[in-house]
Amino acid sequence: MTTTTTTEGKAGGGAQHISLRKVLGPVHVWALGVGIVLVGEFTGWNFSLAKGGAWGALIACWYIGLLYTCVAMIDSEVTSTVAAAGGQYTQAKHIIGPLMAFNVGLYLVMAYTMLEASNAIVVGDLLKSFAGETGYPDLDVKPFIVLTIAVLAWLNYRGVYATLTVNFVITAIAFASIIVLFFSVSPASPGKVLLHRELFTDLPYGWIGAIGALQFGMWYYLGIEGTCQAAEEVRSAGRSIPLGTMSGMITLLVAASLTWYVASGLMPWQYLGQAYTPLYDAAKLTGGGALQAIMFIGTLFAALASANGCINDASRSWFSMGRDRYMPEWFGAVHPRYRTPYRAILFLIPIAVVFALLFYTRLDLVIGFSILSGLLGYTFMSFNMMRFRKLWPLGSIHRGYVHPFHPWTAIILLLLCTTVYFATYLGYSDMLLSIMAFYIAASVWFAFHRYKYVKRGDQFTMPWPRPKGY
Amino acid sequence: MAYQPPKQGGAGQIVDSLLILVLLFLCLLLPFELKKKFAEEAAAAPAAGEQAPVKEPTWTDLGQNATQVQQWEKLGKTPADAKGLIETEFDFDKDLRSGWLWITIAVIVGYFFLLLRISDREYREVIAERFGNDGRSGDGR
Repeated sequence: MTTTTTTEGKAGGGAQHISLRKVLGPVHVWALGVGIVLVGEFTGWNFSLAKGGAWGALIACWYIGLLYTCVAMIDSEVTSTVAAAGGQYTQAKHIIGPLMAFNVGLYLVMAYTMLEASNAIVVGDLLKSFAGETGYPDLDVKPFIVLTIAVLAWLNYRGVYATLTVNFVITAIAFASIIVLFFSVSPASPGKVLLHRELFTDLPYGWIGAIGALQFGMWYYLGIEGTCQAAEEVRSAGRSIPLGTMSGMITLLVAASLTWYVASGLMPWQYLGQAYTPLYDAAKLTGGGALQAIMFIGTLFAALASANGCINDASRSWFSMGRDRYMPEWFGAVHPRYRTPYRAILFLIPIAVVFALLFYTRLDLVIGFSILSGLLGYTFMSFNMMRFRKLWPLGSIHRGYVHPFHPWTAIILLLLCTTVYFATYLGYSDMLLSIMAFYIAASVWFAFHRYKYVKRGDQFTMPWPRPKGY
Repeated sequence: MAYQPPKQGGAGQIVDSLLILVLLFLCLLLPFELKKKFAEEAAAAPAAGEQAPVKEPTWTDLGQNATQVQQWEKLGKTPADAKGLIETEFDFDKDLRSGWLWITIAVIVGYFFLLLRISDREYREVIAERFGNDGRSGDGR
């Protein structure tokens, strides 16, 4: 589909105005959302077992499922009304203000870039495991980690349509591998392959451990809200985004349930709580070479699809901030030929590479940075929803969707987020304070230096009436 | 009259880009790199006095039942390999007793409080410039 030019896609301060290409449909939105998150079923969620054991991980799966239901309800209302690139960042600009928008933009960039780094680590560990089994135990995986990030960045540089079409194919294969694994372990015959009764223990740290497990329960679903990043590149935002997001959530709920059931019935919780590639390990335990090969491909494709989607989303947030001068204007450029935010894509590569290489042995930390950035974003969403209804009460503007139970959804979301901050504090307090230090320092930099470059009136572009009370 | 922001030159843009990278690495990398360095130094330091020979662990010592042992072995792990994984423990009581809990709460609450206050002040500037000071509606730009 050909594109129209608009005044939105100002290329790095130049005279030519180029827009992002509107080529995506619901399938691509599903691929973007599920592609980013599905790797969370292959690795990451299992770190919740280290704190809460198998039962703690299941409680986390359900509890955090409720948190994401609130996120999905709120996001459906706000995104269907503010359909523009930048997702929650653009929403924050219109509803709360520039400093919050700057922070939300950073949350998105950090959540996706750290997720990208963790995916590269998973690819490296998977290759190391495979090399060990085929007689090359000393394989240096660092070049493969760098290569993974570089190749996917190049794919993103060349064009969003090809990027997300590739994502659709490899995400579908990765999801199919989970289904194959599930039916390979005789799920209807407990005790035959799956050994839940013998492997399960009580909560290893009691209920406080179950609360602590909520932190990594986020990994089952983290990133699904990234579908709204594609708002400016879909042919029909009103149809594609809700359809792609809702089908994506259903896919993830099914995959999360199957994953927990299979993995917790095969491995002791102490092993599972620290494994980098638990589903690949699950395949090894069933003894089938073919299944092991399928799970190798599934894990590899899930990690690649996720990293691919992360580069797409992180670069669009960075691009949007550059376009609005929240970051240097140079980043707000669209490639004249490929119509991609190429400078943002290139700038974020070294961040992902450095974190992937330095934290290769601490996957839980890289995942933790990503989770916390996502959590800060969900906390923002509860404030955002409250203000959205207050500044523009129902009937004052056209909404694509009105979610029920307001304000309870926003209040419950805030309470659930508070519990997850506490869960993160349990065992990872240094990480929590480190990431808060970063956002506080960045906020001071924005408020006292960067904000002077921002054109005030340009921060509000929606065709809405003046907000109530302002 | 609308606010006219200054034009930022190329050098200023490079400095700003590098600054955000420095902030990121300082806050997220440095504490953990230092912690790792101190931990390695502590592990390398010679222990005072004569150490008792380390006893080879058994699955019974590690509290594993027959099924758990079977799965560990299928995963290619010996008791010595599994010891580190099994004995890694969180000390949640220490976390709860620590004064850092209250500092962390204050940091998160203070961060959001200031974020909302400063954003509100900036938002008023945006709305005043976008809609003017006379309360008229937007034009659907």
